[in-house]
Amino acid sequence: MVGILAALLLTSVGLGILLAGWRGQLRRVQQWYKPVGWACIALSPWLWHTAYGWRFALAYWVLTVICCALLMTYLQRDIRPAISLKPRPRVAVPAAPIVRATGKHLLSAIVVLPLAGMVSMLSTVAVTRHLPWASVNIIALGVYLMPLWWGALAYWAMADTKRWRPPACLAMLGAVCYSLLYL
Amino acid sequence: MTFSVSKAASKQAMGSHSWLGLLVAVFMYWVCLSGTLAVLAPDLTRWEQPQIAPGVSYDPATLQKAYEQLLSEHDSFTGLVTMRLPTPDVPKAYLSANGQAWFITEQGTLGTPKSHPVTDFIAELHAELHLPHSIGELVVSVLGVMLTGLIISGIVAHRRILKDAFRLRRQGNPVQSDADLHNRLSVWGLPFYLMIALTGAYFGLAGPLNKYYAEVLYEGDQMALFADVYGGVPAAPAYNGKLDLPEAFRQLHQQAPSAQPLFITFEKAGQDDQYLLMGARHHDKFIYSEQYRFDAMGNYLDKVGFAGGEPGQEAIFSVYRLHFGHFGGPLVLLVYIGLGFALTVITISGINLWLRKRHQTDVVNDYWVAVVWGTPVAFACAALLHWTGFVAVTGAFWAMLALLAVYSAIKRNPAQVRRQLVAASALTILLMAAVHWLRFDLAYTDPMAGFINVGWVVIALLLGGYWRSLATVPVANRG
Repeated sequence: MVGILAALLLTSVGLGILLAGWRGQLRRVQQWYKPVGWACIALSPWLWHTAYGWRFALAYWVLTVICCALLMTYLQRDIRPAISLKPRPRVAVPAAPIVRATGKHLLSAIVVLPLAGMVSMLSTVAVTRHLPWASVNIIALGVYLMPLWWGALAYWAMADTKRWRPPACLAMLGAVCYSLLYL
Repeated sequence: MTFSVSKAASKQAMGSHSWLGLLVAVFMYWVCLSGTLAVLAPDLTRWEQPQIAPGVSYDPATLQKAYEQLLSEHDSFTGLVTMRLPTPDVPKAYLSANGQAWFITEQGTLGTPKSHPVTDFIAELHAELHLPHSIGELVVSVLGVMLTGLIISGIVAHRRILKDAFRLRRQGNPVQSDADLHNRLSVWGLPFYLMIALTGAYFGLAGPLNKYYAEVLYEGDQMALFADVYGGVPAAPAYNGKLDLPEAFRQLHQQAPSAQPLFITFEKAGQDDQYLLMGARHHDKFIYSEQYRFDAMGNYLDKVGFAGGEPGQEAIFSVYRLHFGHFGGPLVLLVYIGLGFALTVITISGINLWLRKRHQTDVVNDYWVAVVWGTPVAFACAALLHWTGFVAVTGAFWAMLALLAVYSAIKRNPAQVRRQLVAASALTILLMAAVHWLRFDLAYTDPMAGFINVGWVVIALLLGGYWRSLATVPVANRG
């Protein structure tokens, strides 16, 4: 119980220091408040672990940091007088401009996102298979890594301003991974 | 500490973030909202059948009697025969077979059929968006991947991620206000959302990934992979006709004294080579259960090894409890509900921001309002209609939601429709709680039903408060 309370206190102190510094209340220790604040937060899992073991300590640590941070953010919210926006005109939906504006992106997404999925799968398997681990550990790593890798590829593919580049690069990477796996 | 992304990279990331968000927003909203409720799925099932008394004590001999009754009443079984044992979080024993389930009475007979269509509706919306199982599960898993993409693009797009760490401007300019809400909830909750995205992606994507791994690591033998990860079939001695569940419980206690028995799967039920698989929770781990295997006479054979085997097995079998927050008791559940709701708010505020930046109002605004605020109305109405006994929850929900979308499109006034639907949400949810209470003669045998009903009333009151607050918002800011 003492460990849990100490962990909560340390997390709150760490976030409190960061908040005070962010509000400009720690100017005299400008250099130090961030490392000290983050160090307090980083140390609290050790206190959680004394009560629950490392697995649950990490989970409780993440949840308490999130909750404390959101609570502090809410408590120091800045309530401003309402500003009335200019009324926006009501328009009929013009089909042609919408198709023009969204069509390219939609087409790109339809092509590129499944391709990114296929490439992430092939590349995850092609890379992780070489790890000197038991098969089940390789599979578990792949299970958690592949969606992250797919998400990163999806972000890049949708961010690239040259529409041809993502499908071309993904197709090439996919071909390389396929050949590494099957040829 | 400096952290900076170039303006150009940030702008590109913002574009990617917007497009990914627009592509998945509606589905993401349904998955997040239903997921927030699905955290309470075991409790919601108790709310739906509050006449069944909870209790955590049981006698293995009584459970065996119930299983033997099932065997005598059914000639054959398709799928698994599973017995859920009572635990503090699910304090009711029941037996499932052939797509049905029955609560087990204290006398060891099969009692009231287990039925919770409203919870099933929520769980199926969350897990497969009411699509055919294999497609739906894949679509929802891909949403998990897209959430990962949104998280990455959101980080790169947000150049002032540390400078704005605690900034939350409320009221004032609605664009700033929505942006602050969206960004603060997103940034601080990021580790949780990433965990939800990765564990959520597992359910539908593990299958295809396993296929590739089977090809390269097991020479194409998927069964060998399954045996390695999920445990192979044990060599069980032939069944001598004397089933002995109490002996299995006794031997489980010898093997793992601190493990809490959760369920029993009767493999090859009623056949000569039947054997038992007993799932037991290890309180120091995230795995759903370790699986201990016994022959039908109750003799211990082996365990699969999720608890003490390779870390990979433990990682894979920790997905469920991590995703749904089924660890740490009611406080963790409340945190999961709060953060699940935060992710729902992030989805809504993200699209609201995009809509506000368009400088025009059209049918997209109408449909978005109908989706966001029509969903709770349609849900509560579907539950109420279902209780009349004439319609299925799922059909009623989608029909109601379609009607509300048409209404919003005809009305062409998203601000007004939003306010109407918020009021309707509050009223229908309150009505749902009241009707539920009346259906069970104002008395619940299971106290959990009372807690859940109080929860619905609180939600209705909060929605009522939100409805009142909308009246003070300038008309042009409401859309």
